[in-house]
Amino acid sequence: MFKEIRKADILLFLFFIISALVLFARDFVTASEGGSVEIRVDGEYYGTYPLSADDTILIERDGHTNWIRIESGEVFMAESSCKNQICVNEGHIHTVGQSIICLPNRVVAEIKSQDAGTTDGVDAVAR
Amino acid sequence: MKKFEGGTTIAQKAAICGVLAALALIFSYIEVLIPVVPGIPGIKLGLANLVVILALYLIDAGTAFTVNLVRIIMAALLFSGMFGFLYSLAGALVSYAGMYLLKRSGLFSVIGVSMAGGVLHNAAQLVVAALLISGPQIFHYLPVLILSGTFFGILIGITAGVVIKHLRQGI
Ligand SMILES: [Zn+2]
Repeated sequence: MFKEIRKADILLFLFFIISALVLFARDFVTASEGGSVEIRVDGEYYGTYPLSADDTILIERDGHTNWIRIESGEVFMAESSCKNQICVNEGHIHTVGQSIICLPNRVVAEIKSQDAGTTDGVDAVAR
Repeated sequence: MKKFEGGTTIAQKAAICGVLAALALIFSYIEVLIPVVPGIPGIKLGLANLVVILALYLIDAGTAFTVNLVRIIMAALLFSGMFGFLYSLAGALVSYAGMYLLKRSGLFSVIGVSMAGGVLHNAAQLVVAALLISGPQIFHYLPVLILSGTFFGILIGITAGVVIKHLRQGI
């Protein structure tokens, strides 16, 4: 016989849904929005740029060029002289720890936290 | 020996077991062929679980366990291979244990039992995947698999409820 839905069914249902939501939320919190992007070339520090302002950074080194674009709080490789174009196809990044790497040109762009972004003014002046 | 309402012989029971195991095997094969969400491993309708639930409710726990085990061994021999075997064995054993206990408690309807089975099945498979291939980052999928297990478990549970009702009336 087909039994009616019981109270225990509903409690278990809520338990599953809430667990899933908590896990989703935890993921969301861990993946915090970045505040700035740090660029390194040939393993050396190149500069830090805030995500709050749209910007295009041209990196020229040994005849290689990379155009890194900051737009609406996201970073992407707009153009690269490299052969494989993996960096260009990596798409947009914006959460802390994400990075775009152009191995042939040895260019790395990594998203840093909000705190790192505040020192950016100093860097900008120093340049 | 337990009996259906109306009485059943051992021969009838053996015949039903055979039909259920074959049906579960066909369902397993259908699920191998058609991934519900391509790209995310582990999201399944749980059609084979429908058969296990039917055996659990219409016959007995031992039969449900046998049907489940026969299905997994046959599936491994026919199409899923060694990794598929461990993967489905973990899912099936954990979900069977959970469903058996919930049914025995008498607190849950077949829908709640099936829902728990769906979630436990997915969770157990994720653990196997983490241990054997990917490492802990695959637990990233856990919330998605909990939701899909809940959703498809409810669908399978409703189906099982309808089938149980009609079969018991028919026999
Ligand atoms: Zn590149």
